Amino acid sequence: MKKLLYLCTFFENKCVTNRYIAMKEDNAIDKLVPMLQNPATRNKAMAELMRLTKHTLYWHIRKMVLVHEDADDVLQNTYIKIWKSVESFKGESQFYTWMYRIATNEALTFMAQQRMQNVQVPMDYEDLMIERMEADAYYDGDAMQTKFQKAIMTLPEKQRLVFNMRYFEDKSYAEIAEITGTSEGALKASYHIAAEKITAYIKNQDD
Amino acid sequence: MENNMENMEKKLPFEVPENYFEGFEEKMMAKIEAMEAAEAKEVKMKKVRDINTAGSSKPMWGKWATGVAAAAVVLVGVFTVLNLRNDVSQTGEEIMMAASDEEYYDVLNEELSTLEIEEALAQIEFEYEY
Repeated sequence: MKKLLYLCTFFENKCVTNRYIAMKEDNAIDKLVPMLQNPATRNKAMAELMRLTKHTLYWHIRKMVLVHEDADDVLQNTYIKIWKSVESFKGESQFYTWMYRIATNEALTFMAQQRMQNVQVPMDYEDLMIERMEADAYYDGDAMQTKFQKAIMTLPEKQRLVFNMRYFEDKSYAEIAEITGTSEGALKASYHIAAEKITAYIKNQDD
Repeated sequence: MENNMENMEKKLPFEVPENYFEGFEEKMMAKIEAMEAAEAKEVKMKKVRDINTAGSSKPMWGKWATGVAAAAVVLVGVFTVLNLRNDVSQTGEEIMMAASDEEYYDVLNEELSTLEIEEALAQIEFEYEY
């Protein structure tokens, strides 16, 4: 592992380094579980848990909901759900995966809610999301990046989720399989289809 | 053209407000503690109410009404839970509408295993459940 880390630093291979850091964090997070389940240490452990995971979970959520304000809402809901249900965590899955699932579910729930609230708007919810994204003060995309986000938004919600985890978060299929409860084969097929759709969309826009 | 995605820089065009992450856990802990305090207060008040009403002699019809109301609540609850259990293709909004947090947690694991990604992803076209 030391050698790998050295190589990463040498080549500045951020992707592999990030994965190494994630693995180290994983251990630290697992150690927090008994503390989270003990009322005496719960508050302190929760603060530590948030310190370790807020960035990862935030970016996971943000890629789904696109707008900062919404991502902040969903992240807060996620931690409240984690707080309320951590006692019932029995370790059938890795704690990190479990948290990821809650965040994913919260993001999907949030979007379902938004979709219902905007049912009267004479516009696809996806287009509305893109419009809100571009108007967000915390969006800073150039023409190409905006086109790329639009292309991703043409994917069905859950395919988009898989695409983001694979493409932006560099997650392995095994990890995504665990988070989504889907077979690796189906995920690979899905990613392939998503990538093709995105390429086709961008090509169409360019022509 | 195939290389479009390879060439795409993986940097996201998203930013966060300055200092958003700093102090996030403090802010969140304050929120959680306030929530806990409010819930504890609620439980305490309920206990006081229970003690106050325990010795009171209600007229017979009042007791009946209470019984019927309680039965109705239980029935509605049972129906909700049964519906939640039976519906395999549960969606986010159904979970959202689950009456209590406990139900939410009950279905949480189920929901994700039935995300139907597998099915959906094997096809090119995807039907929204929403």
